Amino acid sequence: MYIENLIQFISDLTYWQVIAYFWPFFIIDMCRYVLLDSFLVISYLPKWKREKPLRALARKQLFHERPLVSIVVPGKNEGKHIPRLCLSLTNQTYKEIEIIVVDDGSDDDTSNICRELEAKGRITTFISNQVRGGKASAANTALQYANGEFVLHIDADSFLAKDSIETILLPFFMDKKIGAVGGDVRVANVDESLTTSMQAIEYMKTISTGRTVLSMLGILRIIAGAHGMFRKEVLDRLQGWDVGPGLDGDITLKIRKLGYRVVHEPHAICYTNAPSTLQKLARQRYRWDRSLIRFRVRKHSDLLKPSASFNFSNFISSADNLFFNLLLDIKWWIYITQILIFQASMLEYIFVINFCLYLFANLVEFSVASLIFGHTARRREKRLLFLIPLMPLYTGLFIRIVRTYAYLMEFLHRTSYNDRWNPWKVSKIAKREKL
Amino acid sequence: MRKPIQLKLESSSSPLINNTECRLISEINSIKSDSIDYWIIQESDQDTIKELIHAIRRHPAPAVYLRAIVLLSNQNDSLKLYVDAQRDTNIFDQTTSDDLSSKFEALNQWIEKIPNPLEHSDINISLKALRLIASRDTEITPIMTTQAHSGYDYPAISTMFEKDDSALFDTLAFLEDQRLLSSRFVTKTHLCGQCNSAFINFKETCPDCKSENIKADELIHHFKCAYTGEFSEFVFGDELICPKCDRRLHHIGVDYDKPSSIFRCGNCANSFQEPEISSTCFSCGRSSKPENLTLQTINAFSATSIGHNAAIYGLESLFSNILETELNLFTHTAFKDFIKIEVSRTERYKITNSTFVIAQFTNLESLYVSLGKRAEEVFSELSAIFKSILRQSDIISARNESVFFMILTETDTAQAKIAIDRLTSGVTQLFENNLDYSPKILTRIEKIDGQLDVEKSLELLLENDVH
Ligand SMILES: [Zn+2]
Ligand SMILES: [Zn+2]
Ligand SMILES: [Zn+2]
Repeated sequence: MYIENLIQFISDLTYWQVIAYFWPFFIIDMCRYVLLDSFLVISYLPKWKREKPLRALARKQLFHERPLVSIVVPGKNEGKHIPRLCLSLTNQTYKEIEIIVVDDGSDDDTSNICRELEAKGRITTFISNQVRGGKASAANTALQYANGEFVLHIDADSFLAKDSIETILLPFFMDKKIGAVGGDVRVANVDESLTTSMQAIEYMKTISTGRTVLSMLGILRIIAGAHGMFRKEVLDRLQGWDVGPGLDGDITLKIRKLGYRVVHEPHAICYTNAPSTLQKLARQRYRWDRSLIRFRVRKHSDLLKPSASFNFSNFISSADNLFFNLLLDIKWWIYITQILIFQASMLEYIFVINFCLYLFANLVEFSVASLIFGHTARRREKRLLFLIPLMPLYTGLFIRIVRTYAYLMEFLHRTSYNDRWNPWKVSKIAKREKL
Repeated sequence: MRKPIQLKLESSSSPLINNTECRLISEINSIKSDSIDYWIIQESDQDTIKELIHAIRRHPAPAVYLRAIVLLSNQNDSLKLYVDAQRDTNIFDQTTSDDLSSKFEALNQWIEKIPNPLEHSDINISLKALRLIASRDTEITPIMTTQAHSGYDYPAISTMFEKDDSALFDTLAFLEDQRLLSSRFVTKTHLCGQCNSAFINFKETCPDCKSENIKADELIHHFKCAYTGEFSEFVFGDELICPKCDRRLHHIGVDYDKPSSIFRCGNCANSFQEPEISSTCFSCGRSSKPENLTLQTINAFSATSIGHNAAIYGLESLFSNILETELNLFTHTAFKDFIKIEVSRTERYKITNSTFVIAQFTNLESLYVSLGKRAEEVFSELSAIFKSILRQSDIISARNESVFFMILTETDTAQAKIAIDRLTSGVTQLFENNLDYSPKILTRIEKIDGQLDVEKSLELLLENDVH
């Protein structure tokens, strides 16, 4: 009965009605994600094949020059994760590394664990700050003692695939104008809960596919702090990271402003532990999303204004980010309002049709991601295909609501200045200085 | 009648006051030791004073080394801790002397309680130390001094030790282990693991290249720009300026802070927060990590009630004392009489046999040391084993601390062998339960007849042991 009515409803739709009822999908999401991603991936794969000899050459040069890589690991109360990380670092195919761990005022046994690893030579330098200074200052402390030509910034609760460092270094040897390379971040605890499985799919879409696309378009706007390789001289010129949250996006933009390119390398893999419950996830996203407002809109608004330092791809990079996050968020609420007021009687059909459309989009995106993954795809990642039907609800409802709430709070109260992310002493200064 | 005796190194002088006597150190053995009231030392040279104290305290006769020593000197003499009393040279008169005599009366009476205090010579340093401590009936306390190799000295007893080595501490530990002394915690000290010296130089070194050329610098974190660097980077004239954002730093805790400090090695440029501590011994020059040093507990000691008893009657008496109370040990003379009686009795009737048994415990002394506090308990069990194989009519005597003579009446050598095997296995079992090793027991079984000579049997037993 319902099915018949649904089919009747669909067949009765005129083109204008399709646009009017489903404009967010057809005008925005389909173009932005499905078509663009598919198109770019189709061009990415041949390019990846084409560049095979170049990569081989770069690898040869890398192992000839053997530059030192400083691995910088800032963190608070992360001691329990450090041994696993160290193990994954010593098992790297690229061996010219030093590991600098900065403990940002931990109040657990982190210090003991790391001192022991330092004594055993598993950590090159361990610096324990008795007072917390925030993630940026911890990373900057590590930078002070980094001797490498390259600096890998990595989260303490993650670990690397065996060839990750080797792979992430290759772009630097293929293009001297590359200042930073983002590595892929994948979920380590895929099977822990439904929440982590959903995030695994989301990471595949937004990081593996999303950042590859942005990278190919030359508008990559974030080198993830969880896994990012930088030229040391570039970080030295910038004198390190600025006060967070959102320091990753911030430093990426600054690197772009210096005239360097930033790219994403989907084959350099870092596994990280995703929040295992919806509540923890909401808290994490709330923190992440607010940084958009603070950095894109407030701190780097000059990128959107025509000026001497104006650069088209930097403009697009910022605009893309702003548009597809902030405006699309607003769009979503406009759409909901529109449907509830004008199409309330057709709600049951519109909802189901939207679900199917986004399910289709997700399937396309998942296939694209699998293609990009190539040989690095693991069985447990392939199995995620069966969870795709849940994705429209996860991204369409859960993530949206958290994001909207975060944006609103940041606009209204500048709450990120009071974030637990930074110690109060830092937040206070940041708020006064309007950072 | 005892009198104070002034001891001199060479040239004898006239008596200080009427009843004192002046003797030379070379005459110390000819002094009638029961006539000594207390010793007087009056010298200006510190080394001479020490030499005189040593001559007294290292003398083997209890009546000599246990006597009180009075030092006549000025009040601040650092050697006063090493003697029993110190008096001002200028005001030493008959009254002072009488006061001292009554002060040391109890001590002199204590010395008289020792069997043969005059000719008896104590060669066992543990017994000497115990006697010195028990006779004073006070706690001996350590002093901190650069004069002693280990940094601590027990002036009350250290003068009786020949060398400044670990013998003093070992002796005290042994006596405590035997429950003859009880200890009270005073302090702890690090000693060189090789030579036990307390004089150790602690240095912070680079954990990588071990260089001592390291320098610490504070880290500064500028809140506004998150820049974190070493203090020296921020110094600009007499101001602190952030090298990243060129802002002036105003107030610590408000716009910047110092999260930690870091060492830099001047030799290999390594950065680290925890320098490696290395320790070098001033005496033997050995360098090591502090965890390889000996952490010695420094205690104060006083004699226990067992200690007081052992101080008077001697250390070795413990085991025989226990056996005596549990077994009714006969004296050696009595035992010999019993042998004679048994010989004539068995020869007259020629019906029954009696057997003579010698049991010797080897290494009983080291057993005693390793058992420590449990010695008493184990020795009680040991006597219980003896008791279980001996009948009412049997006779046992201790030849010395480790050799026991027994007469098993109405027992032939074969039966005696069975009994002695029971003794041996019982003893072995006892020690296996209490120790990692079992002491050796040598036994010799002989028929009692006219040919028996107990001393010769003992000789044969000991000879067998040697071969
Ligand atoms: Zn600054
Ligand atoms: Zn060094
Ligand atoms: Zn030494």
